[in-house]
Amino acid sequence: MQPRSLVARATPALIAAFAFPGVARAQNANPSPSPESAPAAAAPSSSEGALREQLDALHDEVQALRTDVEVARSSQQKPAAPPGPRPLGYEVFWPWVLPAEGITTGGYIQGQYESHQDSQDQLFQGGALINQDRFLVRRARASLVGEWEYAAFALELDANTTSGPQVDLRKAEASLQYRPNRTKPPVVMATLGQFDTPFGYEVVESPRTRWFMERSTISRAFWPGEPDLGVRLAGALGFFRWAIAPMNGEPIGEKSPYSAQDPNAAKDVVFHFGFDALPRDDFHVAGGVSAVRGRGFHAGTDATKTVLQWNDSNGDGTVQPFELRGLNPQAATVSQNFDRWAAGLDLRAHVRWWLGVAKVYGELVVGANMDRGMFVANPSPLSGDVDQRELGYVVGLTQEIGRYGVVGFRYDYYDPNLDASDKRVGSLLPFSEAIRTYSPLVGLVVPDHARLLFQYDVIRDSLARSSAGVPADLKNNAWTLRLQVQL
Amino acid sequence: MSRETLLAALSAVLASVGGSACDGQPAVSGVGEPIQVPGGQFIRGDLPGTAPPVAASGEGADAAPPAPGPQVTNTTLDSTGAVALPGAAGKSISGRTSGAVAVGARFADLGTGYWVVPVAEADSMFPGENAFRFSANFDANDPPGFHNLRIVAIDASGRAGTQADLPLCLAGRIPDNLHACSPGAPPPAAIISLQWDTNFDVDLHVVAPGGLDFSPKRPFGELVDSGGAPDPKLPHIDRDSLAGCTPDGLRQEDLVFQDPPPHGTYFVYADPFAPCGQSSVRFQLSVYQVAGTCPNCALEETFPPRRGELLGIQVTGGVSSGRFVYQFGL
Repeated sequence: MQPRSLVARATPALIAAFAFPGVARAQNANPSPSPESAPAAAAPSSSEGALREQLDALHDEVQALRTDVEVARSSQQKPAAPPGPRPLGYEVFWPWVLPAEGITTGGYIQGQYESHQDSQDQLFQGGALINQDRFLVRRARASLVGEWEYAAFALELDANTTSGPQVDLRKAEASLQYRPNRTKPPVVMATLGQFDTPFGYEVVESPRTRWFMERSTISRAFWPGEPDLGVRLAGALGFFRWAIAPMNGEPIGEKSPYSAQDPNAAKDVVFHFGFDALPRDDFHVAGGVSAVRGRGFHAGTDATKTVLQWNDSNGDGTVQPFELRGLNPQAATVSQNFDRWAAGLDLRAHVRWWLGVAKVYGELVVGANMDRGMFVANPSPLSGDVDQRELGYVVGLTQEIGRYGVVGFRYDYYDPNLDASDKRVGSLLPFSEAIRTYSPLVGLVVPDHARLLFQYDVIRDSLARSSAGVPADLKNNAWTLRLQVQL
Repeated sequence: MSRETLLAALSAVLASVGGSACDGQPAVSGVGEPIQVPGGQFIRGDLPGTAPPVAASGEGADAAPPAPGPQVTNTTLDSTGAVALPGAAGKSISGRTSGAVAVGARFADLGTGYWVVPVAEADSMFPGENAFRFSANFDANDPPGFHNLRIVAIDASGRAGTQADLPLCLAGRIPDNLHACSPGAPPPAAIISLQWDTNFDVDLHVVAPGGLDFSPKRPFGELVDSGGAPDPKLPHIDRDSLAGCTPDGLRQEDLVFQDPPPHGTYFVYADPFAPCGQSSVRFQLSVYQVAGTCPNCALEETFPPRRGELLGIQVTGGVSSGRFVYQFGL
């Protein structure tokens, strides 16, 4: 506001000085008659000198004003200043991101090579690739963000070759907001559209800023893709953060035909209440509790037509009457909903010390029937409507090594079915399906522009069987080399 | 955080990762193995345990008496018997064990490893014994003839007992009237066989001396009388592989002459009937004739296989004979 008022003050003076110099001189040369002016007129040489001094003073004043105006104009022509330097712990995710005023663009590309121990040059039944040793574009994203006093939007498109070339919408957020302090997140923000499910920390953490290649196993199982559609109410008051979001509950990437749609009218409601504080310039801490409750969908089956079946009962490869069977048309079966829920706790802290910024974070999630990406939960009356109870957690540490390096380590645990059992010697034995992943990471960084990261995932599970027929670890470790370059 | 603390933490991380990175069961699908057990664990290497005391092949004749430990007490094949058709899937194999938690199975003379399957519930008819059962698939290119399917019981400590042999005959891809399993059954006098490598609907088309024109649409070379059943000993094409683009797993059609074929010149075509979503297909033509006097007879190739390629853009839809492959005299 100051430059504008300076211009306002200076402009009339300049106009007066340059557009009407005669008037100015006349005013100076013809002051209103006063008793003191008469002797001055009687002494022309001294009054001319005084006038010249006044004129010089006025000229100096005009020059000073001109300089001020030019400075003010030049400062006005500069684009809007971005928000101040990012505080420790700053991460890009809505609704608590602090975007620049107006329209801003962004983008990044993550190209990588990855190798998996369980790759084979074969196909799964159905044609899916077993081999995963390959180059791929994991993410190539472009974003457009608009930020105004009472409204905001975010649009992000993603292209990748993870499952062959594809382009899809990652964010389409239209928001109304009340953000009186432009240096702070909105006090309240209402968003309608497609946005990251505001559960915990990992789901909303941007892949652009995350050091580790992908989210933890449980996070990817519960939310195969971060975005879902819905409405979100969120806000920040001091250190307090909150979000409430009724959503379709069918996130992008889930293993069902209903991704980004919704087969049932009930909505999954997500809650997050947390805090985000910077008690010292070199220490940031944030965290919260989250919960989601909703309904999943167990699809019924279509009606069928008459089918003639042949079963080669005697294995002679020849059709015989007793090997033929007709199947009558069958009626469609009904679809059913099932309840699902999850609750989570997340905590993270950043510390700046002589080596660089260290980040420690952790998240614990428990749930039932939430797995939509790996061990998909789908309880039905036929299975006794038994809930699939899940538990998982992740702890991670990253440490910047000066400005140009980073190391990290993450451990995550996911048990997709706490009640799993294995049938051996005719008995059902309790059995852990837990997957444990140890992920060390090293990287080189070009600040604000690029990062070259290497991550090795040691995966311990029970997906194979030993020579004694007992569940055993499958050799499926993986490593990834990724180059990310960003705008 | 001190530098010493940092180094200690890094050392702990590296130690934990290094210690856990070197074990586990390799991921091997087992596709292409002569026997495949869906749901079983494939492990490369020899079958554990000791060889059978009396093996059908005589291999174990000098083996030690049954070793202590878990034993296979019985093996049974399903009602389809001891013959597995080429590429057969779902052949049920079962039996009983004592003291075992799992069984391992492989062919004694084929393959690169064995399959492990947990045993099932206790068998109420045989106290102290547990049943096992698994479903086996066979590769269509398995060498025809009898092979011993070797099964061994494994206990909870991983100790294996004495192996048991289950003779199984694998029928060959070339329709030999099961001569490989039953030498007394004479094979056909001649076979013209076309095989291909992708799920592309290719039809074998043969013009025989005398003008008979064989194709899957006319398997007997001419129309069959309405209501009549043709003599199965007449020359005929055995199947319409990939008919309607329905995969049959074999991708093969054979013109079978049970009796000696007419003398003269034969013209063979490979007809790319429908691409079924494939861009190309490679095929191989082989001709077999019986040699020797049965039961000591065998099918032998008349000449080296002829190979070629067809493209998706060459499909005929059956309106022409397709691509000429070879002509030969019998």
